[in-house]
Amino acid sequence: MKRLFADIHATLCSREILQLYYKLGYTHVACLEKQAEHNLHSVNTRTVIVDKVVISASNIDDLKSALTRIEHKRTIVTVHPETTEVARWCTHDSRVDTILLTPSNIRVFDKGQFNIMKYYDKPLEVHVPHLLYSSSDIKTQFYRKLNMLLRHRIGLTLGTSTRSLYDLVHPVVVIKAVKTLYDVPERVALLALTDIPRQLIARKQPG
Amino acid sequence: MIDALLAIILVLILATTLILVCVLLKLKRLVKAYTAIIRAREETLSVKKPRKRYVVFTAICEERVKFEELTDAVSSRFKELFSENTYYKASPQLVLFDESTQRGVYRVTHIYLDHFIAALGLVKRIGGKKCVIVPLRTTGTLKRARELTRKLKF
Repeated sequence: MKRLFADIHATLCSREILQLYYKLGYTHVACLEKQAEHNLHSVNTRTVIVDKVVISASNIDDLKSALTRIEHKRTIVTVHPETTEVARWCTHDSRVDTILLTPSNIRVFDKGQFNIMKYYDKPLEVHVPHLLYSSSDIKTQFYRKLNMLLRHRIGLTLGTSTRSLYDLVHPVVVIKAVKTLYDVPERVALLALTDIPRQLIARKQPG
Repeated sequence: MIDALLAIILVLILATTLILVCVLLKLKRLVKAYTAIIRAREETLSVKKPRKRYVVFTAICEERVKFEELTDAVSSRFKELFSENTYYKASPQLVLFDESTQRGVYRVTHIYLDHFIAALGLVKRIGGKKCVIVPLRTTGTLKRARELTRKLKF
């Protein structure tokens, strides 16, 4: 198995989870929370691990103040915009790495938003559990948004949102699932788990 | 007199060329329609033979799982994701499963291989036990699949 995959969103990183990550072929992982950092040292040599922050904002002032507090050169910064104006504003901010699409803010992403995202080359982040375990109404909305994203040729990144050892999904399974359930071309799905997140993580890699 | 005749001839030539162009365009459309019909008929007549594919996998679970538990979990997940209709077209069968190593081989139709791999990997509970199923390799023969269950490292 070639080790070329990257996960842009792991909710919890423990020693066991990172070991399984490595076995499944992941080399780059962005962690929201690290469990006992000293224990991760031996795994660190094989896997690149960086910190990650998700900012949920409903107005621009909140977002601005949150961004000033974050060390964005060492951390992956993801914004979860709750309003259209926040979504538009965060797209052209260079400190923001990705913009998160969830069932709660799906209406924020319209044609205009995708146009701006294409202009500023900002990738869209989607979490795999949202794509797989949501209700059929939400899945329908996700299908439309992903289709729009593909037509605009915007970068897509997929995060597994792993919380425990058994939440982990094999990268090939994610690619096949996105391909069969959402008609996303296999090439795009592969890029969403390899090239795009790996570049983002490698940029934040310490040293 | 000669001028008038020439003018009439010219008009006639123009009219005939116009009529010819119209007829040719109509003919072109007709030819296109007929070729489309012939192609569609050929496509409906040529049914692909479903070939078998063998998926070698390993299960990482809290406790050891049994053959029946695994088949139940995989079939229900497949039906949940892709409907019963796709399930019998894919016809997945658990050919062998070693309960001591927790490795096995599934047989599936080549047309629905992607669907099956997606469903297999998304099984999260087998008989009430938390699990991660890792598809290791796909082969075309059972012999090679048997070899891989022993040889593949994970």
